[in-house]
Amino acid sequence: MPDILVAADEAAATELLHDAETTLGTLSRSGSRSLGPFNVSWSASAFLAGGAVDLIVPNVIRISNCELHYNLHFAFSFDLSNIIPDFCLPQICVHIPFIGNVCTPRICVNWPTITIPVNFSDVVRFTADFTLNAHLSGSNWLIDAVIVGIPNLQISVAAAAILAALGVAAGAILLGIPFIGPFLAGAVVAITAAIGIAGITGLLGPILSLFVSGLSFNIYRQPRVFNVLPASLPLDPAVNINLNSIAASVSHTNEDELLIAVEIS
Amino acid sequence: MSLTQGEHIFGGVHETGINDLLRAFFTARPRYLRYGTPAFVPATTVMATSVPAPSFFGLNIQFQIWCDPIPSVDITPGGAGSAPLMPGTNEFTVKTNLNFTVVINNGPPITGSLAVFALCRPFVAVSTPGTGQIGITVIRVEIVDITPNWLESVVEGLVLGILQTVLATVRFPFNTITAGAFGLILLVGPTAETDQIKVRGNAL
Repeated sequence: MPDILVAADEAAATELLHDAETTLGTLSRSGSRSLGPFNVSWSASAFLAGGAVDLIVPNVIRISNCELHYNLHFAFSFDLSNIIPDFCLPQICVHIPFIGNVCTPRICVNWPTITIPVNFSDVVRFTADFTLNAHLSGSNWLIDAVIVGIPNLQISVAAAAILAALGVAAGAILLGIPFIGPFLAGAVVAITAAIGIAGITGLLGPILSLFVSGLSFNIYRQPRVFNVLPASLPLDPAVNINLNSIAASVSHTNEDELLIAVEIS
Repeated sequence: MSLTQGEHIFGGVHETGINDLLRAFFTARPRYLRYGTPAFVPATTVMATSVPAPSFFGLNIQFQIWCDPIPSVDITPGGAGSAPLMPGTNEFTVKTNLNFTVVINNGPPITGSLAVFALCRPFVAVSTPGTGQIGITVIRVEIVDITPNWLESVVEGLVLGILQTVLATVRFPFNTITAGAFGLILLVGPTAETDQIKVRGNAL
């Protein structure tokens, strides 16, 4: 029998997890990659919330429908010439009596490199198992719930929405380019077709996976030298004990419980 | 049967853990184990508490009392070592030696030691959710091998007062019973059973 034994049922474990999600706060990542003719730079922030806890013997916390709230900013850069061929306006010449032939200058349109910004926010839910890891880190005892593997994220709807937003943003950017008028609609279609759902999915999946891969919630943190009573009167010093070891597990009797066993001295 | 039963949080401290806590408490605050009149303890310090000399028929009575070893507990069901005063339901036995030195009218010091057993129960000293504290109530004292019985009863009455003073200072915060994992709203307990002090409740 350990010196101190603490047990929490699934309701209390759920509160513990939700507090840990809040403590984890907002995470940020950024990066860039090529997507066919496009260069994509991106920044993302995300936080986790919610989820139902199921305690599973011997040391697993299964979190169902945990919400990953994310906010993405993409910047798609590409040379428009890769979508629309450069062209030159034909010269027009007129004959002016007593002057001779007068021609318009040769005007060629060399499409610019453009950057299309796209912002997108959404929530994706996932279910994953977390194992309990009690360990000493410096002078603190920690119990972390560490994710097992990388959960499957359902992002097809989000990918379609991002692609649609890209199309709208592309139209707005292209509108400001001289001579684009006849080519605008086709350019937008060409851009979204060139990237496609698969491209967005291939971009979005790895970004969101960065936030869940290796995910760890800290559900317990106490100093190894644990303060029982603070110093009160000048003649009453603080009373401290040593937490010599901590173990976390899940037990099952008539209900599942999270157990924390502590040895003290 | 689960540990939490009808509540969400359970905290249990085994008697070995209680003894570690008592050792930590009295090592940090030894003055709660040692009491003396001004001849022995002129002023209260971290090491000892000064108490006034008693008035008794004009006699100058100076004394020093101290508990050594540090009190230890045996939570019900009691072991063989608690035979003189076995703990019953929701009880635990505290054991220590009460050592004393008495000087009457500047005479030679009279020294002795009594093996003391105290029957105790846990109680809620402070009920504030999250920061509440568990204390110790001393119900009865047993001293072995004092005769005649009436003298034993007189001494036990005096020792009861001493131990109530010593143990009244001991507090186990809710936060310690849950090892800091939860702020506890106490709903059930504290109870002394199966060698543990147990509490149950909800998370703050």
